[in-house]
Amino acid sequence: MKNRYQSLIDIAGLIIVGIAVYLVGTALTDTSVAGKGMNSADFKQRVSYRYVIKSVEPSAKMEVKWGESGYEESSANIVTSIVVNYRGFDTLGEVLVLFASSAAVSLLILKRVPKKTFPPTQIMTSSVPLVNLLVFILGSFIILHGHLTPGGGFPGGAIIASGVILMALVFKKAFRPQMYLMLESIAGMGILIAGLLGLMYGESFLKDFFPAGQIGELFSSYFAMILYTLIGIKVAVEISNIGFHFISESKGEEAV
Amino acid sequence: MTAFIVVIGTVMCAGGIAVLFVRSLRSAAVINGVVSLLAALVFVMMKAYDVAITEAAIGAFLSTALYFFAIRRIDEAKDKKGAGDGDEE
Repeated sequence: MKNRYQSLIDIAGLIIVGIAVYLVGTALTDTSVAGKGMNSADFKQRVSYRYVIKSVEPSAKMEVKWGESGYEESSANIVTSIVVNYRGFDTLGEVLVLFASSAAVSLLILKRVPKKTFPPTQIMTSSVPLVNLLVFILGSFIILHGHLTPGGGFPGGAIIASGVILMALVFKKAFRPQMYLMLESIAGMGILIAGLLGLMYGESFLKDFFPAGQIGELFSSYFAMILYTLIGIKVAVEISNIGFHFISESKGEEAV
Repeated sequence: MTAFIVVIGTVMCAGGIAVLFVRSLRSAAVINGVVSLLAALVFVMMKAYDVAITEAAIGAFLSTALYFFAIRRIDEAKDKKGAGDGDEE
């Protein structure tokens, strides 16, 4: 039912949101405090400078050593070094958000039995194996080269999950959520164990404590590589689990 | 290149409005996926390859697939409820 003062409350909410936007905007563009504001003019004072100065040019190829040549310089991809090294805790939160959404889907849709009301056509049965070969190769490449090329654990995991969903639509034997859930728990434990090892050998949780290696090579930024591999497995399993639930739900006998 | 981005953005806006007014739910899901694919193209042109890969995988394929599964579920519920009211399509 409609409240009598609903429109007044709406207007008050709009005014509050406007004031908040104005405050945040002025805080972001405040340059009066030199070097302190988020829009400070001195670029070298900011954290992102440490990520931008990296280079993969053969002439500028340098031996990067942990603790000597600046923080988190081991991975050639700037985005990866920010996401996995500098904001590793934030990434852990993103993984937890995805896990929470997958768990919510599992909670809402409990049926897990595939039914035969969705028979695959000839086109799907013959083309999906060929397409999935390329899809899995692309996803693994994006995950493993996350510290060199664009991409990483989240996009690669999503690509692999799309392949798994396609396969589960065509072949009944691929519909096996229990096996994948085991993989997911192992990957999630691995992320936490890596973080705790960083706490043990480095200075803080999720600290990159491996030697950096040569920048631009495949086996260079070991911590980012291991973490992105684990994140890729976890994301792939979670998204394909959501897909499994939707498929099984649409194939279930009883409508809720 | 800016003109190209403007053209693609206009097409994306038209697609986003068309999603609201299209009759069939499946057509709306497909148009949504096409808008996501165009967004991925724009991301590539803006040199944001990370975002483009994610948009192409999640926005174009996975969300469209989930929409299709959900629409199928709606149709099954309608069939079970009673084949009398044929108000869809």
